[in-house]
Amino acid sequence: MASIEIPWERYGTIAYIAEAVGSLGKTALQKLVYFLQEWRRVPLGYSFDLYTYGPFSADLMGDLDYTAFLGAVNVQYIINGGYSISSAEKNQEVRDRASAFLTTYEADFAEVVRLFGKCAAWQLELRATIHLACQQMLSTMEPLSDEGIVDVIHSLKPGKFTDQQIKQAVDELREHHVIAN
Amino acid sequence: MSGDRYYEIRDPIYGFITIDDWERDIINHEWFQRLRRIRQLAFTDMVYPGASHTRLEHSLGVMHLAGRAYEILTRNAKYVERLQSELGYRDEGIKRDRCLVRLAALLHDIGHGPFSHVSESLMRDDPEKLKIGKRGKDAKYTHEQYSAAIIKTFFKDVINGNQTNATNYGITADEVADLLEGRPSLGRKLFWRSFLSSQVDVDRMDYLLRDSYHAGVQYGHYDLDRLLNTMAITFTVPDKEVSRDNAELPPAASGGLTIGVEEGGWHAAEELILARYAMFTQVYFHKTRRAYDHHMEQVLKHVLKGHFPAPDNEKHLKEFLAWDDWRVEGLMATDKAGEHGSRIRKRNHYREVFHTTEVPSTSELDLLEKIKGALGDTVKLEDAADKSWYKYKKEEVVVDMEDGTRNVLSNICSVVNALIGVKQWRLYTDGSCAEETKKRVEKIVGQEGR
Repeated sequence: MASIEIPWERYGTIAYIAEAVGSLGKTALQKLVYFLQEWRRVPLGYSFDLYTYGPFSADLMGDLDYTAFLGAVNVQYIINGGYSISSAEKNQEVRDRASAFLTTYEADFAEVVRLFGKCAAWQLELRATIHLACQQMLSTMEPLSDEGIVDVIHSLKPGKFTDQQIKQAVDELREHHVIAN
Repeated sequence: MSGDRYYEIRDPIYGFITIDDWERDIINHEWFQRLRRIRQLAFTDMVYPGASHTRLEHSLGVMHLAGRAYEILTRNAKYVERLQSELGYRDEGIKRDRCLVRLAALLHDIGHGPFSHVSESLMRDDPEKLKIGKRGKDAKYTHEQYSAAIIKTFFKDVINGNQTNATNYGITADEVADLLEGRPSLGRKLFWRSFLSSQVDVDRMDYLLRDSYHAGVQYGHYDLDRLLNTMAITFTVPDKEVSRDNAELPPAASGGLTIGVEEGGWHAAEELILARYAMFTQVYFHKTRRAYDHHMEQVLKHVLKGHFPAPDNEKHLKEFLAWDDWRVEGLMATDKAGEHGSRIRKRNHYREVFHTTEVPSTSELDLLEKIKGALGDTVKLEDAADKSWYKYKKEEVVVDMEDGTRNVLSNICSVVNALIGVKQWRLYTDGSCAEETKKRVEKIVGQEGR
């Protein structure tokens, strides 16, 4: 029987993002990990389900709490401001335990942080939802056109985003090959 | 409900469950009736002998609660206004989607294999997932995919073809399946997915009460009526917005709609979370119950000689649906299920020889690795709370405050705030060497100064 498979790669990923991005919220963490796994194919094994607020993994929230328990990140609730996740004392120790994994996927982590690390939560929510819609539509029908994406987002979140905001997000995602041209 | 005639079914949790003609036709469908032959909790009855209830009664219960919760929420003018302003609903859409939600609730577990979640590891790889780079467990079909395929393939006639539906609603089997799978093409109707799968969903509301009742334990109870009556259609609590340069905020940067609770109901939500924690630690993740999950998985590997057929065409789906608990138990009874089938018959399960605390520290995980290394092949099974299908993790319930703001339950409830998701690990050996192995473990633990 092989050695115990403690998922240090998951805890290390959370620690890495908190360190690389600085203070971020839970929505931002969800969407950054979503892009790592679903766009860059970093094998983290999370299952993301689509809700009206975008792709979400309940297991990732469980791992965030455990990573905080291990002392790698702080998770604080700010009244009327949601959560704030930041690096903590044992961040490096947890990343060290996942060092082989983080090294293997170093370029993918860097690319996700470069493209999305400075995005606001709503921008990440919009971009992750567009990506997931394109992925799911791919398996059932022809790739979505820009107009098709705008329609899907409007039908999921009526009135939340303008056509211009959706189109700008689509353009960015296409430009960086996050979704197919 | 939509038909003209109503029927009542006795239920041990709710007294009576009322169904209409249309729902009765679906319940009488041969593949729904198969759920009578799928036990809700696999071999939990090896520990709690009363826990031999089936997916059929759970499915009826989830439909019943979905209907009740939907009615309560859509009687509240504030929530109807939110559905109208945020999702563009009108009265007829709200009435129609009540039927859709009840059907999705009724059929949400139709794709379970024998012994419920135990079957999931024996499902084949989904080529679509392989195509986008997923591997291992991530690449497997899920029971939700089987549910969706079964509904689309075998329930079309009884859903699309129902006269009342065709005249009034036009609900399709594809729509029901899409709601269970969370397809973006559903548009605003995707919101109701929170009803079936979220922190405060009717699936877990039913299984906690039902599993507790059948297992005969006093855990798992909470104030159902209070919780239902204080459920809220509210908004997720958004991150603090730190937009990048020149990025304008969207028109409604207030988070998406979700299911939460009113301020007056947070104690009921707290009870639900504590009930879930207790049921996880005492029933779902019971050390012996988990050993039988493993033995059953090995039995299925043996009798299937591979995997379940993929949910990719009607023939394969029929082959899959032909597998149920009865068939597997028949093979076990006639000694055609290998070593692990024999173990189950004789209640000769693997024994736990070491476990960490529920939330292990880094040093405990190091100790776990050390013990595992020292025991080598003596360890027959290593189990983790994360591998269980009924994970316990901290829940993020949004509380709709009376002053119009939102908060999260863990911020206003110190008990919930103190709970951390269970991450316990366990090692098991064969029963014949369990006592001797425990002594070896004690020695290692002693050397480590614990």
